[in-house]
Amino acid sequence: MRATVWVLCAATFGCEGMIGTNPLHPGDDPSGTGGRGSGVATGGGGEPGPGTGGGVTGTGGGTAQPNPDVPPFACTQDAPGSDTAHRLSRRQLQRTLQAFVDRLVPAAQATPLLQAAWSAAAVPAEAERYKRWGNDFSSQHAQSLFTVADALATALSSGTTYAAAANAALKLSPGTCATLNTASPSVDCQKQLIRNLGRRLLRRPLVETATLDEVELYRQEYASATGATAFSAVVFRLLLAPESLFRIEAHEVAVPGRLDVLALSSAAIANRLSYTYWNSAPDETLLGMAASTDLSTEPAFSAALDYVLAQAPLADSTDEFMGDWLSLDKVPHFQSSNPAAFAAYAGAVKYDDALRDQMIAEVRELGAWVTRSGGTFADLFTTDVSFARSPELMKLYRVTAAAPAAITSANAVRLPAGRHQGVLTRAALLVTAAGNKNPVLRGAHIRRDILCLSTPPPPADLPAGSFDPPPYDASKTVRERYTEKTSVQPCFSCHVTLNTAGNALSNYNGLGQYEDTEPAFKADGTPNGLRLPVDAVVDFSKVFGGNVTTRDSRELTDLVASRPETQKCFTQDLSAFLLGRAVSPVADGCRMNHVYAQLRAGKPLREAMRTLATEPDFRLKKL
Amino acid sequence: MNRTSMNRRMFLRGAGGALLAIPLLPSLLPREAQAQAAAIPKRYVAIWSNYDYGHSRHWYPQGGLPLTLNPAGEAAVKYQALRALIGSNPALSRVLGAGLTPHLGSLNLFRGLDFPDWFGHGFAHALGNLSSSQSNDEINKLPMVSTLDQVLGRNARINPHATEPFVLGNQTSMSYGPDASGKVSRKSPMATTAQGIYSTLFRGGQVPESGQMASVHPRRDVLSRVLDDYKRVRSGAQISSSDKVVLDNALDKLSEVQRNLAAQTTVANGCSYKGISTAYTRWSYDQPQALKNMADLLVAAMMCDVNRVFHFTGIIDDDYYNKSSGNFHDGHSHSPRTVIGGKLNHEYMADIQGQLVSNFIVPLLNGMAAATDAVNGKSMLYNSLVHFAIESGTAHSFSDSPTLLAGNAGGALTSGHLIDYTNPALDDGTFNLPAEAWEADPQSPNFVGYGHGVQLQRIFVNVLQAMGLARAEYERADLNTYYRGRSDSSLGAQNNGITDVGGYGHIGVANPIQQSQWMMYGHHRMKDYNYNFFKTPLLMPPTSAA
Repeated sequence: MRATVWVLCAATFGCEGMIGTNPLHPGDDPSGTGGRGSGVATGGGGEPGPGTGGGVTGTGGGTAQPNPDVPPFACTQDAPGSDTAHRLSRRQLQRTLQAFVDRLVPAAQATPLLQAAWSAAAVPAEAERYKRWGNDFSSQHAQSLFTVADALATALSSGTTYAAAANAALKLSPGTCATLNTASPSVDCQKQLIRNLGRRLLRRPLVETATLDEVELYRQEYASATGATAFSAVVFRLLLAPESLFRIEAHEVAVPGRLDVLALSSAAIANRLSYTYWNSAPDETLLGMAASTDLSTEPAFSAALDYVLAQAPLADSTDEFMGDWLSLDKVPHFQSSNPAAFAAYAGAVKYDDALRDQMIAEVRELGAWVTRSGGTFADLFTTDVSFARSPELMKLYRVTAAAPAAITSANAVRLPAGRHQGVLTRAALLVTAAGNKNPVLRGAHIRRDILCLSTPPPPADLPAGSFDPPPYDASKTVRERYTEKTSVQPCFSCHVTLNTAGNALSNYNGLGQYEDTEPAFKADGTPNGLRLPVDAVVDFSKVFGGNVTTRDSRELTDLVASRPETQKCFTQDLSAFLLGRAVSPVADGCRMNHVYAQLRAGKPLREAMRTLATEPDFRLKKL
Repeated sequence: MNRTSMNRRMFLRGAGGALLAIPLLPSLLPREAQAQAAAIPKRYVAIWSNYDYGHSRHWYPQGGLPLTLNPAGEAAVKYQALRALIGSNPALSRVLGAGLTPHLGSLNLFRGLDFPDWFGHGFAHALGNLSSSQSNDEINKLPMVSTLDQVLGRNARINPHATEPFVLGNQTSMSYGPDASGKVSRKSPMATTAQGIYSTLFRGGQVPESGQMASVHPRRDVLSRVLDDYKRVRSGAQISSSDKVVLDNALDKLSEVQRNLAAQTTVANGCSYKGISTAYTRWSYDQPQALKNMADLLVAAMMCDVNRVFHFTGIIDDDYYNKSSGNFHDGHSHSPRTVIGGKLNHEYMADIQGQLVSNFIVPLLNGMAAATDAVNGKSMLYNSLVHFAIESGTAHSFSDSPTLLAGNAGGALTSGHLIDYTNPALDDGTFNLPAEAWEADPQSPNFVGYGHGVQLQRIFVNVLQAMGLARAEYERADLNTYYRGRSDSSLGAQNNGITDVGGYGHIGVANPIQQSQWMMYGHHRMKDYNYNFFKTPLLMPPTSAA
């Protein structure tokens, strides 16, 4: 019931609804007759042609090859679009609440306090590939968020925690109340508490004008209660407030002569920056910047942006991005209908959910490391730094030293030369869990998710057995068996390009472990004890045009990292993730061209991320 | 052959259900009998699962169906008692397994219920909303209608303690109902796990168990002010129309929470749920304890009477099963003759579906059978209906969608039978739409389905009437005109007057050249085939099997 890559035999027909347009890549052509959209058709030779301008439509088996130096997206000033109220994702909410609690109670108490409140509820998991995209708000959201708010407000106002939390809240921003009578706060102290709590949870100063006085509205909670009870009610109400659960820009500045946009206030800009790059609310420094400077002006904004990108919470965004970009939640759990074959592949490595988790964590950390260390987009595909710390993962990679807790260029453990580099050759992206390496799946993943090239769905009327793995044959490698099976029509026309990248990964077994030879299997699927030499040499001319051949996985990853298709695809993925919504080749074309240029020029990945925020419309609310 | 003829009374009893030989179509009930029927607390549980890669044959017990019903103007209906069919076999069938055997007398298994049109994947059509099926552009333009659970769950007479059904699903739901504006759309699950049920249905433990005192939740009043905050922000000058949509929805959902904070005044005896485990943050069909926890919580919810209508959508979590390829659907549905671990593909799928039955439906029925309603001393299973329907009977086919009803709706339905509505005489062998390539029986390459049965939607009439709804509460006549009185339809004479009698056969083509016409008229037919245009229920055996 879910869309994913298809396997083994594909042609040009539709399978009803199982495979459709990738919402991340709106230019994709699910018909299978064209290339990816929004490209600029220039040059000749190669893959199904990119479309023209903002459209899409290659002609199938086309001849155009992208010119890497031409910006791939349409750049239209004043492009349409609107900025809609957006629910904090589950992860953003949890991190926001953690930051809030951290401000009010000692660190040792804060985490268990939040965990207790969080575990009392069942906040729904996000269903979108990019978890930030989810903007549904179901009954379960409402009930679970009520439960969290209730539990958290209760905990913060219970026993001795109340006095500590209330005094900490009072001191977040000094005011006229210097000493808090916790049992019966004065009016000044009530107001100061409300202002300080509101500024952290609504992430803006409360409005106190003649026509709207939000402080007085929240002081209603002191009308029939006082002390801890009223404090609890204020916290509860703020936790569930619309601007707490949602990112809503509602107190912005009119732009003379423009009815379609508003200029964001400093507080709103700080909010955008922090949720874009930290997955959390502004910290005290960023709040201070928003309060003391006008972040809509270039120098102040630039300083705030630099600050955000230099802080540790950036790692949370890169961690989440890696998981979403590479669909790491889809890394398969162990399953095998042929345990003997699996054992022959896996050898001494035990694949279970623990190792699966370690594989995923490794790739996430790789992204954070590249970003933190000033690495480039290409480094994502080429770094040989090991992040393996568990014995099983170290065994898989054949390294003897565990990665240090805090990795630097100087202390990093390196993976064996030429064996594993970058994300494409890490176990999480190679493991099949069923024992057998599968060049079609691997190739399709790279083609569709890394290169953003078309992967048409399989025909509707395939003959029986089309999806079965090719039969075992003791004289043939996996690559040879799959090639043989897909060399007939209607399979061949697509598999001639679909299998290519997968074949280049032939040196990795079903667990992702490097091998120069692979076990041979008798016709009944049992290993015969012999091994066959692996051939990973691949001709990419049918994919990219020209005369492009790779001899091993290192050359494959170098090639993939250098291709404009990869850079364009990654640009869209990174933009969609950071912006928290589907990107438009038109409305987001300008900023995506700038990101692409950064990647293309080999600038640090962090700079490419920074570029997304430097477009002027980052500081505008489109109505 | 033992043939049972029908008179008018028997027809009505079979159709709408009967208690003590009284015809129970509500509109025909004496006023006192209606009052009595309404007093019985009836629960309805709709269960839906995807199954497009399976085969309907695995649902049914083997054996002949010697008994027949002969309704006027319709083909004979064959049936037999499930107990007679099962004999000494421990299991009812491959899918339904052995766990249901203690409840044979409470079950009805329906065979030969067809969907009226081709579509690749059925969604909520099996529960009343055919418009939701995945098909062609015309069908996708159709207006949605509510599924049975939403119709029943929003009826204050059926469901007096809640405003809507409780919707549970591991990934999505096939429950369709109206929003505040009346627009019908798919409902998000209110809960996805046992913990979600506890949090939502039992309000995080605030529903009092038996013997506890009910009280007003201390957050009720402050939550009212939270709602005011939403209204205030919504009315802000800088709030865009799209912002308002988001805020309106949040306001709607938080208002539900606020309504539920009102003090509960009545607590049924036996209300106990806090001892039920809420472990498992993720579940699949093969996790018995996770599914049993949820079934137990639903039974507890019935005993606490916090809701009387429930919906469960299960999606097979393909991470836990052999995909036969990288894509579960393509690997199975598009290749039905694949062998997995020694099983044919459709057998493998039947076993997965059987896990849902044994791990969720069986404990649910066990719990309902063990709980007694004080009002009539009958079990909750007897007083209720559990309706298990699936995406499609056979891979990508609209023929023969097996349906299981458990319970008697307080005596309104007879039970204990396999009832077969297929009518081979109407299978003219000409129906050859694109789906056929995918519905081939592995053992018979030319197999195209079981032949013509009755329209599935008629069972919705049985359910709604048995639950006590009057026709006026669910029928819609405003769109019900396209085929009325037509005698010149190229779509087959048997379809004329379908809105009155239900009709037989696949709707549409009498020969292949009319495929384009089939597409052209598809949307008209689909309008007619949502449940609220069907007036005639399925004919059912007149008495329950022993």
